[in-house]
Amino acid sequence: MIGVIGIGLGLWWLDAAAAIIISLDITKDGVTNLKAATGGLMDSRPTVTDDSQLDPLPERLRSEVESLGWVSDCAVRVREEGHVFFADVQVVPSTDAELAVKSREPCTS
Amino acid sequence: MHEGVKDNPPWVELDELDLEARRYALAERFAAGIEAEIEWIEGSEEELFAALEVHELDLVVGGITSVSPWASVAALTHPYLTTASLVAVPEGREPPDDIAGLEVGVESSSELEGLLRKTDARVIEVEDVAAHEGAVAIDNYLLDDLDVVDTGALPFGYHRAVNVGYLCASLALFVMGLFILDDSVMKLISFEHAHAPIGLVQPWGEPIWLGWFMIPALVYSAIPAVIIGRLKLPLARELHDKVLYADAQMNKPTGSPRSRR
Repeated sequence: MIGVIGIGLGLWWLDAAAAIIISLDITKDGVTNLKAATGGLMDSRPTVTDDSQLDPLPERLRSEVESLGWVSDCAVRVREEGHVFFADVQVVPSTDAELAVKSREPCTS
Repeated sequence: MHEGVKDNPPWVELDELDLEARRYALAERFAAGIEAEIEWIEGSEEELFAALEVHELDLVVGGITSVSPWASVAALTHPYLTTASLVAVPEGREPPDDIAGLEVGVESSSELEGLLRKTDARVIEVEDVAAHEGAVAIDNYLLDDLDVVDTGALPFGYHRAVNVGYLCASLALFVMGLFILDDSVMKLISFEHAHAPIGLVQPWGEPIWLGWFMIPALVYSAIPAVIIGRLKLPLARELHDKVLYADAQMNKPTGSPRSRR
């Protein structure tokens, strides 16, 4: 549109100049999204939809698992697969191992 | 409180002994939360939803899928189980690389049979897939019950398709940006004027430059994109869909490549 106005005002170069600015903006969008898409395929830590910050879900999952009575330590990693998250949770049970096995059973079935 | 219930494995199984403890725990906890007494009513989906629609029932529990036509008359809960259809072979047998030409047993006159007929597999109609020797097409939740294993082509499902689509779209955007950059820089360097000069029209006798019509037309054509872009944003957040989010971002006026021409 700026280009059309430019021609109307007799500035033949305004079309190309406006196109350069817009193409730089498109290229910037392309690079930003390429980074995010590649990061997603590389299983980088999940981010919120607008990629502005890390998603709080993995941290919530970790504190949730940590608060279980039979867990003394745990490691959580979450990968983002499109609309859903897949989580790996590894736990170190506390000394009461029998209790740990019992509590785990519903999860594994 | 009157509640309807419908038998539809794997979502709801009426014949399980621990049914009260597991399947209806949620409904019972909900009832307790609002201090209501439950009166269970059994029936078909048709009966139950019809009763729900006229407020004879308050809640229906059943294996209702997210694409159910009843979604327009009832508020459905969020899906808690996603099933997938797959081709499985008996345990211990080598999974084939491809189902093309493979003889696959499938329950006759089922939805799965119709889906399987669209593939290159050779369809064998059977009464009971559990009794069939060889590869069978089943829903994934039946794998353990039937002692068969997934042929393993996509053990994590199709979720990553979104990421693949995102990568393709952003690559296309990047290349498009470079292409326009190259094109316009070349135009500037070579002092090239517009290819086709914008002409004149004489609608009311006076010659008017067409460009003056183009400007309001371009403004007008940009309006739907802006509105749709704004509507897409909350949906993209709700779905956690980054492709839709990026698309919505580009519909908005800041950084709107499509509003130029």
